Amino acid sequence: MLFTAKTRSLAVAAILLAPCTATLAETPEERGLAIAIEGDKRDQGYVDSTANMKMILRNRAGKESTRNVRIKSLEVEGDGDKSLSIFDEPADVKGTTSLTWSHSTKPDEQWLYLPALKRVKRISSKNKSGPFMGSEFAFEDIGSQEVDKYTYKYLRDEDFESAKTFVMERYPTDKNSGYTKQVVWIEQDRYIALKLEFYDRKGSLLKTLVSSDFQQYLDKFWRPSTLEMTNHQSGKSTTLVFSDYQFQTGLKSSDFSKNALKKQ
Amino acid sequence: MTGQGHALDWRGNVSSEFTYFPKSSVGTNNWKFNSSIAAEVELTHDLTDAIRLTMHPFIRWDQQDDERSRVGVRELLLSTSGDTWEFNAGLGTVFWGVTESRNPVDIINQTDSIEDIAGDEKLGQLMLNLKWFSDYGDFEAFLLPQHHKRTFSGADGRPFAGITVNPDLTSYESNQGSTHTDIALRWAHSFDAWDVGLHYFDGTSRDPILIPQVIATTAELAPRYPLIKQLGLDAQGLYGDLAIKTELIHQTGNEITSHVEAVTGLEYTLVGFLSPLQENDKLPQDWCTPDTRNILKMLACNDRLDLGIVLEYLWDERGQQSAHPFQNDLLAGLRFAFNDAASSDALMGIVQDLDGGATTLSLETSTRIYESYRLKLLGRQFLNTKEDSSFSTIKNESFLQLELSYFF
Repeated sequence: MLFTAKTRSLAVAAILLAPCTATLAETPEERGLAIAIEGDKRDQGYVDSTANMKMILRNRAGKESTRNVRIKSLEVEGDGDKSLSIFDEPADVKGTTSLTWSHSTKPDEQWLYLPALKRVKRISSKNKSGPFMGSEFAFEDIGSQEVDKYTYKYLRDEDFESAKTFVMERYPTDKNSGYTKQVVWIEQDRYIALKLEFYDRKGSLLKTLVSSDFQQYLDKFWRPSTLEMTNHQSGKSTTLVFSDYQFQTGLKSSDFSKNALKKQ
Repeated sequence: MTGQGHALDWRGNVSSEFTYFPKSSVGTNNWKFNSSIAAEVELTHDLTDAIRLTMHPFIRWDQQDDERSRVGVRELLLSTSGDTWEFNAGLGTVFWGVTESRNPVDIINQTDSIEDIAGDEKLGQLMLNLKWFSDYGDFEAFLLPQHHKRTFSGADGRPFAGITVNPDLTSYESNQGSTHTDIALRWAHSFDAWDVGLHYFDGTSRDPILIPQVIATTAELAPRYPLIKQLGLDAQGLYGDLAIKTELIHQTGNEITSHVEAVTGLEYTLVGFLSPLQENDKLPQDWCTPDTRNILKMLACNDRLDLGIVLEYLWDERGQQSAHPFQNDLLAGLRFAFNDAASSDALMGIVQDLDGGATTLSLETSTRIYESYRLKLLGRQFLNTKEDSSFSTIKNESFLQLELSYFF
């Protein structure tokens, strides 16, 4: 139930990859890393943000079920971001809230508030590969995407749906990741990830994520309105629809404390 | 909790419950089926930008037990807060604790034992509560001016204890009776992997001493609430998928034996614990296809299934003189999370009295249906209860309960 940091989250991180300042003698690894670093830099300064997220789960037969989650994020200078996810639907988990403090150098800290029991539970952040709310998104897909969480390798330039993109591979550094490899298509103009492929621990293609309907906020930050994740092995898919993005809303550090969990 | 600004938010449910006891009980209440309907709603309303009102009424009708048919309020609370403080006044509910089986440190609210045999349900407590949040931890103070009696099943309730607790015979050590003002203080802080809390309580105990009384020819239990002083510690350390949990209290008082109670244990979670079967090609190739309809194959191929292992030891220095049955007991439990669209889960547990008293087996499983409903199945079996154990009166009782709840 943990929605980690940065509302930009949702693999959107990959979105923030950088311009290609290809210098001579740069290795594919150096070039991939440079793209990632520049992308990360481009998303700095958002301060805080809020958004509504609708999650539509679809099984093989096309049967749908829906979740509604409100997300609040706070940028933390020099460390990972803090985020709150408040569940409004399904009704049996209404009011359940998760708080995540992501960290760049030590494990993230996560708490869950269960309103029926008035109980705040600290929970493990090690579970990266598990599904988020029964969906096709794993926790690591929607978590804060720090540069250090992957190593990179630039592959080629390619046209993707009439956009010029960089294609590169990235490899999770966390041994608890459910993936051996991801392939990402980054639009060269806006440096946003249009498509991501996820390869499982056996090296087989597991899922594809396509992001679309990008909107720009504060003349700077690009966010997708729709994310479509398809699991090729199970035939299931999950669509995320974002609405009501707000930036610099005046959220404070105290809004992201354990005590604030009960007051959402 | 919907919409911006919290003008009026609510969460609630309506539930129907069917219980079957396969065997007859001791005593006169030999019914085997029970049904019950309940509703509750928790409303929050921001009266002004600074003041929030929380209301949580509930109602239950029970076919067999008149004591369980009732209307009540779990919360009626006014709250206001700043960045570093919070103030609450009214009927409130507070949870302290970290362990799964029992929470000896959770002393603010009275247990609503008639509602839920596991003791998770609480009755609203009248309180003035001030919290202050600092770099040195969170500090809390409570003034609790009104004591709430524990609820007990009536003569028609099951599982039947053989003898009924009569709330009309309640007495207090304090000469102010139920209006003695209790105080409680708490400090809680996080240190890297550890969350630690310390508390002090001075007032009327939430646990009554049950004294047998014979009035005319009827034997009943009279609850007596002693004055106590309690010092307690709760701590949880989290190391990856391993959680270490401890609750410890020391209680003194004129009418009770000074003693220590503890619950300590661990919970270890195996995330996707069957996924290595597929990753290492331990399963036949044709098993894990999306078309499989064979339940066994589907289970073996479920790489989303998490397994949690819970082990806890429960102890009370007073031994058989404890005010509860968990003086020297071990809980072992398995918790399954299916991580499916219906958020299905299952919990299997055994509580063994190490003094040879009793074994309690428990199974609880639930799943979501039609988006807003949840179906829950609960089974419990009490075994091998010796005559002198606290469970002796419910020896060999067992029941199966099906609950369907609609949430809104």
